Amino acid sequence: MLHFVLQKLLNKKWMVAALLVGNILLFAIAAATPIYTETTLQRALQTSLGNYIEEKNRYPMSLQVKTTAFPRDKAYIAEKTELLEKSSEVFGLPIELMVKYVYISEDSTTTDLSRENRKRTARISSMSDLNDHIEIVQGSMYRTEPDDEGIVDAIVPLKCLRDQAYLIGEVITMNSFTYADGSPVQIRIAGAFTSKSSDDIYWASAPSTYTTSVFIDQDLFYRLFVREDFEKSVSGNWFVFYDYSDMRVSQIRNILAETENYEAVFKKGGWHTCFNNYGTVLTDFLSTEKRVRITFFVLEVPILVILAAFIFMVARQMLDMEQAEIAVLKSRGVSRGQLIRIYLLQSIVLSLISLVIAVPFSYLLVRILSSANAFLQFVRRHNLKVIFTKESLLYLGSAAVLSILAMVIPVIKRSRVTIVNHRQRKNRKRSEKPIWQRFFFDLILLGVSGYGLFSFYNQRELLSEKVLSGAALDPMLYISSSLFMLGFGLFLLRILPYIEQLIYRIFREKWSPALYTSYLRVLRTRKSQDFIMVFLFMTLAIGVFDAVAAHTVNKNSDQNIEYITGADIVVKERWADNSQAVAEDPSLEFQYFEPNYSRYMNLEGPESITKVLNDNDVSVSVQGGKVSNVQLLGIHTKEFGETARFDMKLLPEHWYNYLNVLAKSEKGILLSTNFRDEYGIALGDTVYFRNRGGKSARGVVVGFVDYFPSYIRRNYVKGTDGIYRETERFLVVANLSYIQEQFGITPYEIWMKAGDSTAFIYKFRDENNLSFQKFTDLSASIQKSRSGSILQGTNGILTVGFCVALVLCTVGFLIYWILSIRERELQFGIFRAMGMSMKEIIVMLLNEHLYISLFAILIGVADGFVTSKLFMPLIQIGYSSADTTVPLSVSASQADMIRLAVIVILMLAVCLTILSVIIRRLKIAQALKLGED
Amino acid sequence: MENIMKTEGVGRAFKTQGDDFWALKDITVEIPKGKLTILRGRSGSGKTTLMNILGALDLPTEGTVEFSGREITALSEEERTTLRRNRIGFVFQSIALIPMMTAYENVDFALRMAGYKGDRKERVMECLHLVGLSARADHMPQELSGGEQQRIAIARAIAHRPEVIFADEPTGALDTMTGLTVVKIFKELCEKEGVTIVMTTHDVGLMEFGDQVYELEGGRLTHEEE
Repeated sequence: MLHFVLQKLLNKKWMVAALLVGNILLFAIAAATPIYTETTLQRALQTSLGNYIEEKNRYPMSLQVKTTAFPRDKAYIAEKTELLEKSSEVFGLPIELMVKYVYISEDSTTTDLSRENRKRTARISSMSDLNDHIEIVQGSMYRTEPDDEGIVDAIVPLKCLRDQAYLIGEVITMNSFTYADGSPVQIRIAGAFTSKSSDDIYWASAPSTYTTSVFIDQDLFYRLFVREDFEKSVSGNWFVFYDYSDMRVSQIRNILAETENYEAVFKKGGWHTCFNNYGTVLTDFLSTEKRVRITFFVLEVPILVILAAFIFMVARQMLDMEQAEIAVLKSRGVSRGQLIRIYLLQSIVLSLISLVIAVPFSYLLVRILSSANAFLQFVRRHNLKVIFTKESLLYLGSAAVLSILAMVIPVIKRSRVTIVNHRQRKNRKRSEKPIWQRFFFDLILLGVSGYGLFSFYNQRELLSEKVLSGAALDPMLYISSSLFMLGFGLFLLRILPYIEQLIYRIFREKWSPALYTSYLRVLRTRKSQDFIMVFLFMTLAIGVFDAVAAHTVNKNSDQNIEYITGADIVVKERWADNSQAVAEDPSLEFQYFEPNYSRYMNLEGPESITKVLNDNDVSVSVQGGKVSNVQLLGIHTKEFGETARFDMKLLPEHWYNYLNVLAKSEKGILLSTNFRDEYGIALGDTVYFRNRGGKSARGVVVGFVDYFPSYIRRNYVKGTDGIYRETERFLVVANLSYIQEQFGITPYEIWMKAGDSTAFIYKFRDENNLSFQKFTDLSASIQKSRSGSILQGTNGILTVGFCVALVLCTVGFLIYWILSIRERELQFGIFRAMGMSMKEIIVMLLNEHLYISLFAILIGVADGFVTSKLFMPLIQIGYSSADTTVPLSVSASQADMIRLAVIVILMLAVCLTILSVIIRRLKIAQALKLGED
Repeated sequence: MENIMKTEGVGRAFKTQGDDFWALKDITVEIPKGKLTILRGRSGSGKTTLMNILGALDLPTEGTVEFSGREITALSEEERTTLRRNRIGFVFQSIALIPMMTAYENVDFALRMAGYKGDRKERVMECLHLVGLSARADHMPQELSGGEQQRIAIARAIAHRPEVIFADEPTGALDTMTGLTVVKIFKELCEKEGVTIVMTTHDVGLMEFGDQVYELEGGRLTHEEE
């Protein structure tokens, strides 16, 4: 039987090739999905842990156990220490570093003999492996044994040395701490140290924070003080730093659960506190993970479905070609079961071949996906770890089953046919409407998805709140969009014949026989074109939808960042002030010291530059009270207009007009429209506002704006219950000079419009060794958001979806045409015999091609656009952030559309070339089967 | 009698794995104008091959074919196409109507092909009437019986008033009675429209209708009668 099947496959090279393409794509994508998801999540996990370090300046994966007094029992301590060390095994993370800090709970007060009446305190401490993490800057390292007189060596942090005014070599006698024999504890200050490097995780708290600690050797500490006969109690602080570089997403849940166990155990054991740095990071990550998984899955489903449909289509087509064979086999007594087994074997053979190719291909696919930066754009990513998961085997298996089903199901239906009803079927023939038209599938689909669309629109706000709280967008939304796409396309396909009829009526007398024939065929063989047309338009619609979706998501994300940032570069130096002096002498007036602005003016690089006072903590008096947390922007109108980035479409008039109005009146202010709508403030009103420092000013309202660079109108704020809620925000824009006059010297930001590159600002920062309170480079922010897992993954998947669509389009198209030519060899023979030239036959086919494919393509493109116009505003919500402000615009990038067009044209050209070669090879005599000889 | 076509020593060889296979050898025939010529022979006798060569669908390996004094074997592919379009009509063994066109449109199509100048509608109906199927003008081919389809094919073949019609086993797929009807129509056409008809058949019963009969066997002419 296997031999028979292989023989059968060899005879249908085109179809088999097409089936293989479909299967390979299906399997590779199915296998790549979980791998890719895992890879992306893994990267996201590392990024969020990395961000934690950046933001909090703390090591994220650390667990700390702290106690103020534990039993002076070494065994007990050893047991607990071991428990902590075991966490490495329990969590599945190697320990990067474990720091044991133990000290005598009670500080000893001694008198500084060198200076009168000066008390000083010392905390006898020890830290494990201290030697490896310090640099002795004065004196020397401690010895690990007491000297003959029982004096213990200690070292102190440099700051402690200064604060406590120790002298190197000085011996301190702790009168209240006595050994069992009654002798006092004596410490010699052997040296002072600083940390070896500033970013050593060992120093969770910098040495300078240990203001009273005198460190002795840890073993010695245990020997001297952790014993029953030493009466002071001992405290400890244990830090465990885990190496998370190989941490897997799958470990997170376990780590969180085990951490809870640990906390419970330590609490029970009398150790008082146990905290971790990673709890929130990991919990937040888990919600991201869920979002990523659902988003990725939902985005891939249409691709998988269209692939399955493709396999089904090709299998069915192949079966159609074998219909006569099947009928003969059946009439010769081959049972249905045997027949199905033959096809099952065939599909298994095909699946196996595909599997072999698909597995390495999926690896390649993951690499392609991961390097997508924007739609159809790739960057090189280094250190990309591709993680194989068991899930991918599961996916692969499901895909294989799906594909085998798609190939075998048509057989089950057809295998009932005997040679008699085969003939009957053949004679019954066309002109009947396709099933979906008879049962109004298109209208039903439109109705269902329309309802979905409508109800989702009604709960938009709820959707955003859910997304911000970490939920994924409802998959029903994606499903609705796919259903709509199919429904709308079918609907267009239903209308198409009427248009074609019209064209036919107008031109039928004017056309050449070739054109006439082709048109007649288009009109009269509607049903046989139906599947290819549905397939073509769906693939294209998905392609267009993917392109529009990717562009929309990227562009909106970029625009929002651009809007919120306000300019290419926004920096704010740390302003020095006289607060220390004020604290000592309250009669002084608090004031800031303005950094040197002129060095920014002299920078080479920015095209324009301006000062912007940006204060988010202003209150404005309104009727019946005040509005707090108002954003105040003090601007220099001309420079601001030249520097800030702003999309003109956001305001009803050109935004320069607003700036001009403001420029004309010194005390003029622009307010956000919600002041007018909620508090009834009108043009010409005088408004009082006050900053946190208590300085106040009044301004005359000269205009209202909904949008202004960096002004976030509404954002979502996480409430105490952890739920995000929409919050209204307010804005006052005033002239900077006026504000400075009223408020005095107030810290401002510096906004810059960069030329080609923003490198100059980094250079400037490094050269001047400046520390900025705010440092935003727009292009870097955009790049960073692009590499966010969801956005990046979406780009990758949409790109792959689009490419799959194109491949399938080409293959599907070729098959359709090759078959349609093979089927009509006889007809071409007749045409040739009747005196139609080869050229005319090609014209005829071309024309047919044009109508069937062109209309399908047009329907597909229109369908894709309409679907994305309707659904993208909702789908976009899945990508919004808490401060999404810029109104959404659904758009396609021209470059993508050109790419799409080029590829489609190329595809048509390739198809036509292949077809014309096939036609040229046709021998009329053969075609007509005239030559029996 | 005036001859519209004649051949001189025509032979046709087909490439096979070994030696060339000569499907036709040394055929010299004359086709009288306005008459029904029958090529008779068993399956594999070479009659279809000869007909393809006569109808300018195929070229002989050797020998010449003349059509109203012009040597068609010397024409280019394009010229032969034009010739077929304007002066020749075909009726095929496998009923070869264009399936997506109605009976009327099938006949009309021949007129379109030949660039017929007169009133196409009138001519189509006239031809359909001639084959006795004017009532079936709007039917699709698959709605007609085999004999009816073959008659439509004849109507199509004669529509643009070709000088010669080649019919390859036109009765092959038909029962005897229907086959007879078809041949009678051919006879009528020769008489009424003055068309020259060449048909192949293996049916001995139809021989009597031929004005001229050539018999082929193994690619050679064996018998000729008038």
